[in-house]
Amino acid sequence: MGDQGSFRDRAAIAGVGSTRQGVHEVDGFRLAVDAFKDALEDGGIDKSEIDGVLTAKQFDGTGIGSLEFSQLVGISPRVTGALDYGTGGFTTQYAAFLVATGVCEVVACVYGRNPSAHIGELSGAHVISDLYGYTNAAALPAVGWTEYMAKYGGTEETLGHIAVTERENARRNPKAAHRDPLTLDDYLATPYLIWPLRLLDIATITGGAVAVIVTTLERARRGAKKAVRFEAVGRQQTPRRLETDGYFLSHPMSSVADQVYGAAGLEAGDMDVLAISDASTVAVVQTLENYGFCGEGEAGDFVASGAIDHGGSIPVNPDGGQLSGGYLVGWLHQVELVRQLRGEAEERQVSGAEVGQYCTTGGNREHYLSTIYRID
Amino acid sequence: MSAIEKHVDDVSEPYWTGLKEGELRIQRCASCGYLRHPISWLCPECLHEDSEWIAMSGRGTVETFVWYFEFIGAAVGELAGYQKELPYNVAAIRLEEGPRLISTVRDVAFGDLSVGAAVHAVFDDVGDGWSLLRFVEN
Repeated sequence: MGDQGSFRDRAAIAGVGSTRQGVHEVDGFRLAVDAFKDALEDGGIDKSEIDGVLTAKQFDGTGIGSLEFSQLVGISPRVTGALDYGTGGFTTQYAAFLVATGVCEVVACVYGRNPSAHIGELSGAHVISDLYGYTNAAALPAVGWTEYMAKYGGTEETLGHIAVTERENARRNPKAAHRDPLTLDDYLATPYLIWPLRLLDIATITGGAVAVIVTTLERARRGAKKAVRFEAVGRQQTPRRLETDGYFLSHPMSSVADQVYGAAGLEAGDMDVLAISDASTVAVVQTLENYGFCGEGEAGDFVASGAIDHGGSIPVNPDGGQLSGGYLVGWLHQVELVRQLRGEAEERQVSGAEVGQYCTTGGNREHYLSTIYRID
Repeated sequence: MSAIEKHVDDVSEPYWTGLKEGELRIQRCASCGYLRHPISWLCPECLHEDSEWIAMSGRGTVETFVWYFEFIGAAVGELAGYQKELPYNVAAIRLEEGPRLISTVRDVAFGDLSVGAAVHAVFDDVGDGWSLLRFVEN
C-alpha cells in the first residue's frame, strides 16, 4: 500500500476537552465553548495560534456552525468548515489533512449539541422510504443483523453482551450519560423497537460537547501534554447503497481496513484499544469482523470470550461508547483514545495502551472511516 | 396529496404507471443495458441518459428484513406511509433479474418471515388511483 493514507510525522492531537454527557441547561454553543477552553488548557495552546476551525452540523439539525463558533470565540482562521455527516473522526481527519499539507498549523475541531427537547430519543431521525415506513438510521443495523443472523447464526445474546459491556465501562466514566447497572437479563427483558434490535441496541441523543486541537507533530511536542500522533487513515464512501455488495453487512469496512493497516504497517492484532462508533451494538460486531479482530461469523464467540471487555485482549469503548457514554456522533471517541494513549483514563485506563484505533460507519452506511493513533 | 404523488415526476412516471397496470418495471440503460435502480435520469455505469422500461418477472428473494414495533418519528402518519398496523415489516428484496429494492411482505405474521423466502410482486390499490408495490410469499 505504500504511503497512501499515512501521516508520517505530520499531524498530531495536542489537546482535548469534553463536557459531561447527558442533560444540560445551556445550548450547544455554550457547551462547545467549555470544551474548547478545556482543550486549549489541556494542550497548552493559545487561542491566537488557531488558524483553522472545523465543526459539524448533523443532518438532524443539531450541532454548531464553524463561522458562528469562530465569531463567538474571536478567531479569524484561514479555514472554516462544517461536515453535515459530522462524526468526529471525519472532522479530526480533515484537520489532520489541513495540518499535514501546511495549510493550517493549529486546527480546533469543535462540536456541541444540546437538543433539550430530544434528549433520550433515537438519533438519525430521518426517513429512508416514506412509503414503506423505513425510518431512522437505526433501521440499517437492524436489517444488517437480520442478514447476519441468517448467514452466521448470530444470537441476541451477542448484542446484549455488547450493551452490557459498554454499560460496565460507562460506570467507570464519571462523565458518562448512562451509568445505571445493566445485566444481560435486563437487556433481554426489554421489548423490540425495530426487530431484531431493542432500544438498548441503539444510541440515544445526549447533550454535551467535545473539542480536539489538531496540529503539527512539532507543535504538539511543545505542548503541555504528550502528543498523540495520527498514524494512518482509511476511507470509503458508498453512495450507491443498495447496489453495493455487502451493504447491510458493512463489508466496505474491509476496504478501509486494508488502507489503514497498509498505511500504518500494522494489523488488527497490534491495537491496544479500539473505539468503535457504536450508533448500534451491531456496529461493534461488523467492525470486529470486517477489520479482522476476529474471523467472519465469529464475533459471537469472540465477544462471549470477554475479548472486548475492559480487561480483554482488545478493549472496546472503555468510556462506555455512544450506547452508554454519550452520543456525540463519534466525537467522544477521539477524546477517549487520546486520554487512553496518554495514560490519563483513571479508573477505566487500559493498561499499556500505546496504539489505538477508531472505526466508524456514518449516515445510512454511506461513510466509512478509520484512524490509527499512537502516543508519541 | 397521497404519499405516492410526491415521488412521481417525469423520470419515474413509467414506474408508477406500470404498477397501476400490474407490472413491475425497471429502467434498462439504452446504451449499456444496466438495470437502473434506484430510478434515475442518468446511468451510473455509462452516464447515458436514455432508458427503456422493462417488465420484471416480479419474482424475488427476501435478502433481509426488519419489524417495526413502533411508529418511529414525530410525524407518524407521513413517515410510516402505507404501514398502518404494528408490527410491520420492511424487506430488502433481490429481484430474479438482479436489482435489489426496498418493499414490504404482505400477509405474513411476525416470526413467520425468513431470509431467503421466495416472494412475488403484488400491486395494491392504495387509493387516489395509485398502486403500491408489495410482495407476498410464494
